[in-house]
Amino acid sequence: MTKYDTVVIGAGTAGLTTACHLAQSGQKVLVVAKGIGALLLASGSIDVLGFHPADSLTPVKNPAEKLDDFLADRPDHPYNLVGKETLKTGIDQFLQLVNQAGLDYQGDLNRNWMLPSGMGAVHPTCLAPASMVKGDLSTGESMLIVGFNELRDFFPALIAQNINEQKLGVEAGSISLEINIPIAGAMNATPIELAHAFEQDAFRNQVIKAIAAQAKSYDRVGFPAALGIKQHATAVAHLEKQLNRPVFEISSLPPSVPGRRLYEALKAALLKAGGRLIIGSQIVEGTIENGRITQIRMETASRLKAVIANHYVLATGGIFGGGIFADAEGMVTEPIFNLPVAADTNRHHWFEKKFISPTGQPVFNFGVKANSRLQPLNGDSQPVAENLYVAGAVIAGSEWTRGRTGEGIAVATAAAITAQITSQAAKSLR
Amino acid sequence: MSTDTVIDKVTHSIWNQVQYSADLCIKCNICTSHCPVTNVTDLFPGPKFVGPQAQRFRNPKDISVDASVDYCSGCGVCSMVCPHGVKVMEMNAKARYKLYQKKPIPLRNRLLGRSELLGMLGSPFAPIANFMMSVRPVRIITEKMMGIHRDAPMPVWSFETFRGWFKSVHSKSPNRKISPKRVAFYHGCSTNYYEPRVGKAAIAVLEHNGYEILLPDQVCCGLPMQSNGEFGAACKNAEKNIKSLVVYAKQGIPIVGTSTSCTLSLKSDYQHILDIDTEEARIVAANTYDICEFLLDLADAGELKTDFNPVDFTFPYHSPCQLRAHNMGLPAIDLMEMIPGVKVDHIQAECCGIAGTYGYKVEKYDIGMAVGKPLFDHIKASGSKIAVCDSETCRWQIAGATGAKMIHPVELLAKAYGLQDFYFN
Amino acid sequence: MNKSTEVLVIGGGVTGCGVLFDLAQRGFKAILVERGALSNATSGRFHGLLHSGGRYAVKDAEAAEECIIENRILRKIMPHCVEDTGGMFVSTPWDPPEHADVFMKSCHAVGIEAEEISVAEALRREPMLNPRIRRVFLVPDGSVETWEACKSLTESAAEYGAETLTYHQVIDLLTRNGKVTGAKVKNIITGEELTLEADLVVNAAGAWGGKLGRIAGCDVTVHAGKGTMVAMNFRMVNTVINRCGPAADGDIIVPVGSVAVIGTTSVNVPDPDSYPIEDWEVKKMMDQGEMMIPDFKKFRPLRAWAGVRPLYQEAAAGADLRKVTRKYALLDHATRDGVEGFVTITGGKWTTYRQMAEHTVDLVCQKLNTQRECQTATTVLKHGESGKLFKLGQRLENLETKQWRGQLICECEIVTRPQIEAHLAENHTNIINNLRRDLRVGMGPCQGGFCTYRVAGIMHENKKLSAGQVNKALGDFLQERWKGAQPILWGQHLRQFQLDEGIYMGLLGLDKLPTALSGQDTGRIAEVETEGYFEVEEAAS
Repeated sequence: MTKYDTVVIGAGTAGLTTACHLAQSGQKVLVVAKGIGALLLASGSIDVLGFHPADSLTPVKNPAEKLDDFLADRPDHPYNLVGKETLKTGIDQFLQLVNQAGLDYQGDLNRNWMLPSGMGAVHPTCLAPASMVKGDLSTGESMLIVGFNELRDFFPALIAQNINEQKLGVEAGSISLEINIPIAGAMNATPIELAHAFEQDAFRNQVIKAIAAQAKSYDRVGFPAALGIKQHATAVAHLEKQLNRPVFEISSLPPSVPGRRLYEALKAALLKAGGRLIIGSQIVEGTIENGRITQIRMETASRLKAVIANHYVLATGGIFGGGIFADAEGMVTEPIFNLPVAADTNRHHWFEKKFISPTGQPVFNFGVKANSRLQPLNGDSQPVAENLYVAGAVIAGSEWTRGRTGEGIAVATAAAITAQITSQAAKSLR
Repeated sequence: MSTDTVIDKVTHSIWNQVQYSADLCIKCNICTSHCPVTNVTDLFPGPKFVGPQAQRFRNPKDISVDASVDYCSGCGVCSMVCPHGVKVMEMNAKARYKLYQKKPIPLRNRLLGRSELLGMLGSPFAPIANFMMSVRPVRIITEKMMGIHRDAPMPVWSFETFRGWFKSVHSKSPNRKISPKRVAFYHGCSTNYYEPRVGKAAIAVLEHNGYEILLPDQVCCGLPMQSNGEFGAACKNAEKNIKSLVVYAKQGIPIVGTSTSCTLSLKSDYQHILDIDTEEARIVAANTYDICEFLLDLADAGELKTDFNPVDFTFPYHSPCQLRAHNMGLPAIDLMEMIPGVKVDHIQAECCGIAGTYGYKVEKYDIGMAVGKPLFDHIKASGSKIAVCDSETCRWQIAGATGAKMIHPVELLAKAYGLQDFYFN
Repeated sequence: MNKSTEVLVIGGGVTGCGVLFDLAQRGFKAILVERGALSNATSGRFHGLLHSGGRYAVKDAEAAEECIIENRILRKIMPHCVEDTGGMFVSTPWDPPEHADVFMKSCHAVGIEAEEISVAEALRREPMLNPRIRRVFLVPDGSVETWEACKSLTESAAEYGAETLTYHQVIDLLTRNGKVTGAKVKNIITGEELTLEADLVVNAAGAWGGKLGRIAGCDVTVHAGKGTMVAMNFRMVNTVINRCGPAADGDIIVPVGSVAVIGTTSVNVPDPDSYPIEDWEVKKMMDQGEMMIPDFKKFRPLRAWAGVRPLYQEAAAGADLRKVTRKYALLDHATRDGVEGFVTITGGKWTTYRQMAEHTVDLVCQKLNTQRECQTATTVLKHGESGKLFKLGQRLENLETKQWRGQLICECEIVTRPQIEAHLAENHTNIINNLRRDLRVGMGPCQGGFCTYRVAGIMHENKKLSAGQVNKALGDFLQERWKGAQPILWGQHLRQFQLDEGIYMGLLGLDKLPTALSGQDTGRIAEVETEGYFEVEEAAS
């Protein structure tokens, strides 16, 4: 009987992490999503608390230390729903999950890695792949940044110059290689094609040969984040061995290769734990009876199909993810369950004058209000349904850029919901 | 004074249906990063490029200019992974049709598109025809004259067609199931002319579960013609099938098929690519089921017999693109795992590379083989001599590349029920 | 620095450029000054309609005739700037049937080829049209690429020795004994001041013509009639669609380039340099669009912008701007105001620029006592030599047939790296907006989400700019895109902008680079809202 313990709607970081935790705890889990989530576009690292206050230009060095201030200053932020302890649990659980799945992520709540971005700005992040962590700007080691003339989404000279001008104590040099990226074609090389190229010995040898001399003058060598997908570890090991110095990756424009590795790892972990994944099917509606979701309906090629579970997790993302929709008349809705959305219907209040607004754009904060059990709330602040939970960016107050806390929300809410559901499930067994 | 070229029924529909979904593209390139073709060749600039991006530059009044859309294999992975609902694959299919409107469709494409005709021509002469197709010089000549690659996995004609068997053997059998529970069986060209055993297994399993099988009048689903830009011919077939099948659908008799491509055509392509937007088409679509989908629904309702004999084996399983495009998950895995002893090794590969008739073409064969390589490597590495796949052309492609014996999931069920053994035992 | 010439043209819109070319071709030494980039004001903010004259046929036969004559000429002299979209006049249930009754006859009376077709035929050609329309007439409307046109005009003028100075703002006019003798201008980019002496100054400053006239001591009243329009991401029609009735807000949809533009409104504004886009205007455009195309509101609006029509009137304007004449006016200030050496050409519409220029230069000839024939009606402009009309699929075709090579930088609008590098080599500004205007970088659905970063990187490499300068150029361009998006930012387009925000801030950290943040209130460096097309329209009575 294909009735699931939990169905997770949405295949982004929040949805997949929640699903993996639950599947590994022994539940029969289905993830169903209209498409793949934003993790394929983001850097692949887990931002927990990058800047506070949001408009500060000085990154947070120790998120754990700043957290109390942050929670006090931002009562609207989803971290206040789960609390510091659960945030910490979320980070630990995520780390364990991806490490077991074969990805070497590193970090903890007591420090932020200061990673160089594709513009040479400082990107403070809590958990990151080992290959990116080796680019941490706070170590003061010099770096040679290597680009490719055929890769249009990475400009090593610009990155190096911005790093140097910010006087971070790191000396950065750059070189752009005239090497043909196989299969890319001159017009369309994206990081994915470069990643495939880096999985080939011959290509790596070409690169090594081209930079070996110059690399000797630097402590470490940085590449666009494209050092292989499945063969990532092999590629990095080979480069480090031949160059005899640490090698690291710098994230740039989507599609994100580290994001892809993360997606593939989470997917594999889910399937290995017996979970199921349907990509390409949209959930269009759900039925609430007596305070419980009794079924949701999925759009298949020619009809709606019912999906039944004990618990449902809505992890459909914010406005970008499609979990929250804002229309021309100012109406802001959650399209699947029609959950109440905390939003301003006056469109003039949606935006700041400046696009680069450190406090973000108000509209991107709109989302579903939830209680500390991560259950979405109705107009009377009561849970809409006792077996429905909300994870990630669909929650009110979660915004990708402001303060750099997006992925932290995903992993923290994943941990909170996992705890809720597993304890609920245990109760119903007694 | 502007002179308009006549905009025919099908091309203007580009702007009606697919247009809105191109509007949704936000250029994230998730589709391109998952496209199995773009990842192995630079002849195809990617689904975003030939889909929603190029669509803004296509004026239906003008000649279609972008030949690179022909390298889209139609696997549909792009539409599946797009988080915004852009119907990339469908858009490309229509753009290809538009492309071929202005240049003559090669004879090779027309021939490959007519699988029913090919079946009818070869089947009565199966032993000779099969022999000829295995002779190297013949294959080389076919390649040079017709553009069908010499190594492309030609299926093996069956002398006995499925329909022939059903009509002259099965319907006369005293064991044939009569029941108030009925299904209409859509066999498709592959089961009929090449793999009647798949149809026989399906019949056996359905009858075992209490269903009577009806055999409606039917023609080729038309997908091969559609994939080669011959929308007119595909529409004719579609209309014939709809007319025949709607009679059953209206009586609440489900239409069940063993070819995931055929059932996808009935469920979706007729309406969204061929734009046959009629009430009858919708009724047929709403009542069409893939065989595994149908059987799993029975299991969910507690109506599937579970008197399986154990089969102790780990089966590598490839989920075809055209199955995933049904957007219903992978029912075959859950079904097969109901058999005691069966483990399913679901291969994480996007596409086998055959993409219907794509991988047969001399200019695309290498691309197809490159696309399928990870899948082939996995099967070879598994050491398994058998593998499972719901789609016929995938089975032929994988068999050709790995030497494995390929079965449809329903054949495993038939064996576990003790009704029909594997064809190669 | 001093320069002297025979004729100084002030204003680099299509009229000014047309005057410059005609002057140069007739053998005059001429210089044009424009405070921003060519065509950045009214000419660059209309919706790109090449009039057949159908919009005037019923109420103003003279204007209609002017249009059809020029329509034919422009197709010959600048084919590469003209798309033969054809036009339809549709009589919807909301249009007065009387207008339709006389439409065809009125067109034929002035030589406009008009043909009635059945509604079924119209729907076959344009399936998105409202099936409730009652009658449909075909006319030879087209759409035009204004920047290509201004570029061709000034480059053709250069071949005759004329000079074009963009980013040169007029600070003052030089006068001596009641005669205008030239102008003092300032190079906005370098800060350098120039004195330009001329025998005659032509005021082609459009909506700013009144201001300029007053500096010369002449009483010229030019009203700024703001019109707002919306570009839709997708060309849901490939024919110009007009409502068959008296002129009204939002009664036309023009397919131009890769977008479809719906326009427009008509609101008097006191200052041609500063005018808001109001909610009701955007709503009206969307509602009006829905009448012609029932699914209109389902589609994604890409940008909203406004331009100001130069509305000239001898007497003070009444409340209804549409009643202020849309005919052009050529003023000889010697006879009118007693000021020699100064003429004003104002009003008019894009379609008739050439004729306006011809009459202006005829006046110049008269005042400078020479008689030289105008040949602009039969001279094919630079880049138009092939005779091929503009086609939507051109860029795609160029890529496919490998005529265009190199990296695709702006994927949405198909712009390659060699094109960008060539532009950077020829032009001296750090302003990405100029690339946008000339090459269409950043004008597609992603609104610069991907290409802005790439362009910034290329600028850093090619122009040896500092990282700080590049950061600022990036920040400025993104801000410029943001301004034009807000009036129509909802639905799918809002998702786009959140992705763009995620890229530039979440991924690239642009908000943490101080040099990107300076100058976010982009100064008036001629970067007034600059894009789109704007139709300069005849008043109806």
